Parts: sequence; C-alpha cells; structure tokens
Amino acid sequence: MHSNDTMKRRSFIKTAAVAGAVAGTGLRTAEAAPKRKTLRRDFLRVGMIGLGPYSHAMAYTQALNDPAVPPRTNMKVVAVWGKADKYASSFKGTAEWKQKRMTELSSYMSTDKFTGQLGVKNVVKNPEDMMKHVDAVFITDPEDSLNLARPFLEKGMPVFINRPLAWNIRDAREIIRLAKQYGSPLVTGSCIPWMNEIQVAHSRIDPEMVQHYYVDGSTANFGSYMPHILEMAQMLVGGKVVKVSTHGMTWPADEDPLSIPPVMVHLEHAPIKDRNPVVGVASTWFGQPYRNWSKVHLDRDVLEQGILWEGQIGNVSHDEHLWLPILRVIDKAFTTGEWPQDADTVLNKVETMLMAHKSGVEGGRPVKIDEIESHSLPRFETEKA
Amino acid sequence: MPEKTFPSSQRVLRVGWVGTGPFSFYGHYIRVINNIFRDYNYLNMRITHIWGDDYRKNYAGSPEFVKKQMDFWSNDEHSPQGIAKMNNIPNVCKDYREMVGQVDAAMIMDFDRAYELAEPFIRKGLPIFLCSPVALSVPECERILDLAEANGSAVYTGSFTAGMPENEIRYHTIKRDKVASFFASTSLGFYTSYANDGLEPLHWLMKRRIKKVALHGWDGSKGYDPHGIPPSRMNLEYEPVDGKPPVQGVLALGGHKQEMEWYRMYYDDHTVFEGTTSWSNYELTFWNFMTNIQQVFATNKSLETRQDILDKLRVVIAGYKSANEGGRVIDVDEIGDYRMPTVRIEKWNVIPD
Repeated sequence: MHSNDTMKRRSFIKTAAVAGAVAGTGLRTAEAAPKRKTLRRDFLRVGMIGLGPYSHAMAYTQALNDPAVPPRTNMKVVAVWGKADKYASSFKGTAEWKQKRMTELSSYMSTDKFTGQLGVKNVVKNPEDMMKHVDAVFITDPEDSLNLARPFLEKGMPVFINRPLAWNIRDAREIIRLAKQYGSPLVTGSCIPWMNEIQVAHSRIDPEMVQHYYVDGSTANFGSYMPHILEMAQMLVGGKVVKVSTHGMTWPADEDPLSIPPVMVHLEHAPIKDRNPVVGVASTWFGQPYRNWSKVHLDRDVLEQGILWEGQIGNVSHDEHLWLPILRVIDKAFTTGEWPQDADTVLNKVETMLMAHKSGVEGGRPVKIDEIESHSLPRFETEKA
Repeated sequence: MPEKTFPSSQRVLRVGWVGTGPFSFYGHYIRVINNIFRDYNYLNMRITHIWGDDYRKNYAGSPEFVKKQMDFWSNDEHSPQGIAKMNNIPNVCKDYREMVGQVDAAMIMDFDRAYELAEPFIRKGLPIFLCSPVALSVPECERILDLAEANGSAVYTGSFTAGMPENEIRYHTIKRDKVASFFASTSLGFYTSYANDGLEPLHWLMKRRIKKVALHGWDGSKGYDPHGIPPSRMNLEYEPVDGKPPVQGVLALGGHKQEMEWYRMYYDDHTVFEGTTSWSNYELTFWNFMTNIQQVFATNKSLETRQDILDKLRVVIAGYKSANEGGRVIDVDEIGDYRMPTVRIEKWNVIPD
C-alpha cells in the first residue's frame, strides 16, 4: 500500500509543481492559461475513532475534508465512531450539567455534519467495523486509547493518537510495543509543538545551550490542554523530563474540571553531559496577544516566541495555522512509515503528564519519573475546580 | 576626596556602618551616601563610623578559596580601612559598640549577627536599617523587632532593588487586585542576598502575603551558600483573597539574561503587565532606597510594618528550607527557627568536608 500510494503522491506533487511554476510566470489570461486538468488522487482513507470530550475528530476532519478548499494533505476522513452512551460516563457532576455537556458534545460532534457537510461515508457501531474502510486511524478518545488502537496496531496500520497518548504509563508502553512489533507508524501529541512559530524557535535552539525556560498557554482543563504547554516545552528545549512539581491544583485526582485556575508546573530535565539540569516552568494562564508563549534562556542568548490565536495571522486560515502543521506530520508518517518522534520522546510526553498530575494532586510534591507506575490521569470531566 | 559642603540649615545625620562582610553589598551604599560622585550631596546623612568583623567564619572550602576571599574582603575597596579612605569616613572602629554614643542611626549589614550588632543601638532608641536578609531566623528577627518596639527604635529593612526607579514606578501602575499569576526573575550571585533582590520588589509589587514556597533546581548545598547556584525557581503561592484562587507566581533565580530583573504579571483578564529593571549607575540605582532609609533615620518612623519585615524573611527562609528538603512545599508558618546559611562555599555541588 505504501509504495503504491507514495508513487501516486509523487505524481501529484510533480503535477502540482508544474502548475505552480506556470502560475509563477504571471500568465493570467484565458488564452495563456493551460487547460485545467482534473487530477486523480487516491487519498489515504482515515477513520476517526472517538467523539468524546477530549476528541479533535471534528476539527481534524474539517481540516482534512473541507470541501471549500483544495486538498491540503493526502488524507481524507471516511469513517467515524463514537461511544453509544454519548459519553455519559466521561462526565461527573449534577445531572443538569452532565446533560448540558452531553448535548454540547453531541452537537459539536454531529454525525450529520460528518456525513452531510464533510463527506464522511461511514458511521460505524464498533471501532473494528471501520477496518475494511480505512488505511489509517486517528484515536481521539485518549482515555481508552490502548483498547481502541490495539486492533489497528495489530494490523500494522498507521495510527495517530490524540494527546495524551494514554491515561497511564502501562497503556502507553503497550501501545508503543504493539506499534513497534507490528510496524505501525505511530504519531501522538498536541498540535501546538508542530505549529510554525514553535518549529522556527525549535530550529534556533541548541539543546546543549539551554539553561532554563518559561512557557504558558491557554488552558481549559488539565488532561486536554496541559499537553499543549508541556509538549511545546519539550519540543523547544529537548531532553527528557525526569522530575515535575505542580502548584495550584485544588481538585480531586479523578476529576478534570473545565476552567482551571492558574497552575504552575515546574519541570526538570535530565542533565546533558556535565551541564546543570535544565529547569523550566509552564503556566496554564495565557497572556494576550498570544495563546501560547515561550521564553528560553540559552547560555548567551534569550529566545522569546509567541503563538497568536488561530486565525489571527493575516490571510492564513484557522486550519492552516493551527491544524495543518500536525496533520502534515501525520500525513508524512502515515505515508513513509517513519515515526516523527522516537519512542522515548513519545513515552516521555505521557511520563511528564503523569508526573505533573500526580504532583498536583499531592500538593506540589516533586514527583520523579520512577513514581508514576500506578498513577492515572483523571477519568471525569467536571464543571469547576 | 574632600567632604562636600551643605547648607547649615540642614542637619546631617551621623550613621554608623556595622559590618563589611560578604553579605554587606560591598559597602557600595556608602559611595552614594557619602557622595563620592559629585560636588553636591542630596542626602542629609553620612556614614561617619565603620566597623568590620573577622569574616573567616563566613567561608569554607579549600585553603586557596578561603584565602582568596579573605584577600578580597581585606583589600583597599572592601576592608573597613579601605572603605573609610575611599568615602571619607573619619572613624574606623575596632568594636561596633564604640560608635553607639556617636551616631544618630546605624546600618546593620552583617545579618549573621544581626541581633547582637543591632542591640546597643536599639537600646539607645536609635533607628536602624537591617540589610537583607535581616536575620538568621524568624525568632531572631522577632527579638530585634520586640526590642525595637520596647525602645522606640524604628526598623527599616531590605534590598536596594525595592527602591529602584523602574520598580517604584511599577508599584504605582500595577493593578494588583487583578493579578492571577506571574513570572519574574532576578540575577543571582548567592542565595542569601540575591534571592532577596528579587523577592523584595515582589513584596511591594504584590502587597500580599506569600503562604507557600517551593524552590526547584537547587538542592540547598547542605546548609551552605555557594557562589552561583544552578538556575532555579521559587514557586510563590499567595494567600487567597476575596474567594479567588491563590495567585501562583514564579521567581527565577540566576541564569543568563540581559536585564537584572524581569516581571511578567498576568492579569485575570489575560492582559499582561511586563517590565524589566536594570542596573544603571550607583546613584540612580541606590538613590531612592537611600532616601527611604534617610527618612526613617530622620523621623525614627519606619516605612514598613513588623509584618512586612517578618513576611519577607519567612519567604526567603522557606525557599532555602525547601531547597534543602528536595523542593518540598513549605508553608511559611512552619519554618520555626530554621536558619539561613551563613557560610559561603565555592561551588554548589562541591560540599566541604
């Protein structure tokens, strides 16, 4: 499948390049313009598994399938699946609030919109039912990611798992093991680290010169938004996070309230060579005009970088700004079979989340990487901290 | 340099300088107080007496390191005799008690003997300044304040950073009731003096009590105060106000940066109040703070409360205790008689036998 698709993609790229060159000559008249040729493309058929509160299924499908713009990747979403209970078990709170959230969720993740506006042909009852329809899957309910991903990994299919990769470290390790065993290209994580602003900053930072850093970001709840900030930090400065202290969390361990107060997450990275450990702090409170912001102190330089809110940059569309960077990373990984990040980096994303959460619910106690074996991220979305 | 003239109508306060050791800001305040930079002195106080201790007690490590430090503190710029010559101080005392009847106020610059050094001046009812950190421990500070209250002696404390012009402007422009969180940073040579440089302006900027402190990035060096610590972070959790969640702030200590201090205050509406403070020259950097000290000395009324003084000390001690206890969160009300370090070493991770 891969070699065949790669050839088709190359053909498309070559054709697109020629078209671009013609456009670049400034030929604008009807006489000069070459007759438009309809290109035949065979897209990777993608299934979206999970329409729960942490899911980006709708956002990613819109970016991939938007009929109003030319295709922007080599992927098309052809199937979706969501839990039959409409995610009632994902919420904790008053009956009124639960009903409100479920209604909001099912409205946002409307299957009518998937099938009607976005051209998704298959709404399946069980995740495995989409096996015959798809070449790759996005697992977008991360709280049950291992069980949802397993059948596809065991088929060696490309898999993207939305952040965080798993709700505990055992599941994360098992996902990685399965992916390696069956040759599945595995991609996971937040869209933020792949955004152009962060990639530009990343390209200018030598991990062996980093001393310390600050990052912040817009945050609704911990489980869904904290990966944005932590993974941005990891992308910027590199190095394995080995100890975390989280201050400001005031809610129970199994709850993940919307609209949390300012939380400070202090990270310590493993030392590189004989240098002092890199330390950083991540805040859940963003500062305008940026949705995410970073300041990295190097040995002889300071690099500051902000990410404007999606849709704020001139003619760059919301999708181009926010979602397309990671979708292109996924696209490449699915097509080439190459992981964009190695297994240790992938695992450290989950380790960092678990350390951060465990420390937070234990009053800010510094938590080391070897203390998270039995810890789990919160199971329930709740209304308030 | 000859002493500058001043109008006869102005009463010039005679100030005793008590301590020229490694926590005394190198005697640099004296250059401004005694005005070695220009012909006219705006300040109406002079350091007229100076005393220094034996500072071998404040160093540990290799003989070469200790000798190098002793040579530094006894050279022409830092010894009592050298400072006196440079700044036209007429009296170099062998014992700090000698100056008690001859000065109108005293600046206690060696925090490791703060009570002992301050006591004779306070018993005379003289106003005193305590250089930051103000004392070894909270109980010792309370003893000083108790004695001062009993004798009608005003106590003023702190670091010059609290009076730097950019900071003073910020105290008046910040919307402190709207602060949700902040990042801040300060330069750091060693913990005892330099952490205060960052904490003091934050105290006046926030005007709220810090309740919990955690220090991440440094292990406390087993009770010593090294030259240079790894870039570290103090997490400062404030007491909640008006039912809002506690403000979470971070003060970064050390590491490479352009400015001396930096503040990025996040308001609850997600707007940002940001600024820096940088060293300019001795006069601009110290003047405002020296003016505050002069006012306290002239009026014998402090510009800060007992609670201000104790709250500031509790935070810096809590940070040190946290560092020594693996970054544990320390409630400032649990520090008891925990002591600040008084012995400086060469490297944070090379602990003397």
